[in-house]
Amino acid sequence: MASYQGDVSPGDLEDERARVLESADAGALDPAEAGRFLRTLPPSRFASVAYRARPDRPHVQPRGGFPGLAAQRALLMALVDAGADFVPLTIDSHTRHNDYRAAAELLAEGRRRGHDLLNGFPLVSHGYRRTREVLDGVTVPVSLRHGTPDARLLTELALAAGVTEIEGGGLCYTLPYAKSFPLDRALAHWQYVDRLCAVTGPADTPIHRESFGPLTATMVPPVMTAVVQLCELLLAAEQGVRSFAVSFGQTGSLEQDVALARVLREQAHRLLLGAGHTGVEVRLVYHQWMGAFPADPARAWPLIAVSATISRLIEADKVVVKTPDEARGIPAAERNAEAVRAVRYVLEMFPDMSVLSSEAVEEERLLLDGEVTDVMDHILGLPAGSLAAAVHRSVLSGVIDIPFAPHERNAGRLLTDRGPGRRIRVLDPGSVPLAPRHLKQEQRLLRARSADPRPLWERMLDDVGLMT
Amino acid sequence: MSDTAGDTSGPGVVLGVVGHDIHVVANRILAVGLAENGFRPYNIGISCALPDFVDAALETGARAVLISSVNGEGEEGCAGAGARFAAAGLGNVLLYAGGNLVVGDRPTAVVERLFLGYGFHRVFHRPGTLTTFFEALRRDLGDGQLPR
Repeated sequence: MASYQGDVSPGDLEDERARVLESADAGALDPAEAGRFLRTLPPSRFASVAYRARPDRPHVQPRGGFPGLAAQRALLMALVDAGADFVPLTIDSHTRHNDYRAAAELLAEGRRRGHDLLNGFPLVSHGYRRTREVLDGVTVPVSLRHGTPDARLLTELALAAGVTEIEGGGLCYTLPYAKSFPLDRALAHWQYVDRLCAVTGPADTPIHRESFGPLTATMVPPVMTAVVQLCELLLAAEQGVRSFAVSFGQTGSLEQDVALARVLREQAHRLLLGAGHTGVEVRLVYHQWMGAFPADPARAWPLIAVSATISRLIEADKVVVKTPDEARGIPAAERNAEAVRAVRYVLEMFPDMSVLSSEAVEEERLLLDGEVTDVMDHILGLPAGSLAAAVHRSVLSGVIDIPFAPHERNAGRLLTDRGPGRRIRVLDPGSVPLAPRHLKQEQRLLRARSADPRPLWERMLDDVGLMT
Repeated sequence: MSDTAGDTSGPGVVLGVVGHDIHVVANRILAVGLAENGFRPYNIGISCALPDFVDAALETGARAVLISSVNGEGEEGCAGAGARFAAAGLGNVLLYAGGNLVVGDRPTAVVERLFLGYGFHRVFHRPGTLTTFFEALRRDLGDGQLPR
């Protein structure tokens, strides 16, 4: 299979870049000036540098995006004051779908009416100059959180504004977020983003990329989470990305969380080595429970605290925190800051903690490692012209199949259920090429559950409310 | 088209979510439940408009169509449904509407009247369970008579 092997000469990017930047929405961005601006930032603003420091606990990152410049700046300051190690720019959904005109109109209309009509920060509408002002004086890395199949212009502007961590990927930001955006185009657009990140940052403090592991956050089996993360890691490495985080969301089973963290790290190492990519720094990010959240604070706070504990237990490099307002909508800045303080408090309870193990963890780890090898070896062995083509074909054929993904090309044939210990089990693999012995073990582990006579649809409906 | 969860030769049912509505989870669970209850689900997924449902019913020969809305866009998206199906020669197809059909809190009876006026045969506004829906579907398709 053809591979760039981490060559970072920008050559093939230039033509397309010129077309992206000639749009009026680019605000006459000059790539050379953007690169120079990044070099004026202190090292503490770079995610890749923060990760290298390796504190004895996960970095803490909240989410958050308000439409207005002043409100966003106030939020970021409140989060830094509360002890956030990374701060967010969460982008509104119109910008995510490249509808910059609607975002600008709703931003203006919201100002007139005196209340927000956007669910995030419309970075393209504000432009990179005003966004620089919002981030002026911030001392920690700023992370772009969105859900955009075509994030070329958004990433250009984010980097020019001084954002040093870009979340997303061709699979993880398309399958769960879009119905009909063509997947091959999304994969190509994310190759652009990866390449842009690879060539833009200072050589010793590279721009950091992060994949979004929670996907639909609904009954996704660990094998599919890992496969998407590993494909996006390899795709980014091909484009020259040198700092990358794989991630996943709390599964609902402590054993599976521990197993998934270990398998992700080991398989990332194995696959990068196998593809000949050296010098890629791989981090692990843990998302607190991404499913339906309890509205009752007496439940929401413990869920946040337990998630924080698990992030420490799996030695995550970063934990992305929820707030007790999650069930109601976008959290107020004060609540977001409270959540950061609460998570820091929990993490500091466990200095020098080491990863725990047990028979169940070991059983899950061995099974998951085998399943991930089944699927990754299948994808990498496809007779395709490129890794991106192999990944594209794998989605069309159902080799990569994400439960509950709304995308029309997602097969939707893989079925999962929860077994003993709330562990997610593969009930029917659809076209996911799991070895018969792994499938048999999934079914053996599922049957060990106390008999539940209810039909699957009823159990699935229950599972959506697992933590509420 | 995906989500034909399980092999069954029962009556075909088209289902999907109307409007710019991303609420996919209940839609998928409904498809699984239809298959488990002996129906053959044809799931056209999220972000559908009325003509998509008509086309799917024509293509599949389904005997029933379930149009869902969770974000409340159903009020706009479902208007004139009965007339549209009749115009396509599908006047004998059973039409159900379900979910959270309108924006804001309105009495269920008011919402039901609105959607019956659109030409739906049954309306499930904020149903507590899917069981009543499966039972009604089985009854309506079993006796061959459209409910009045």
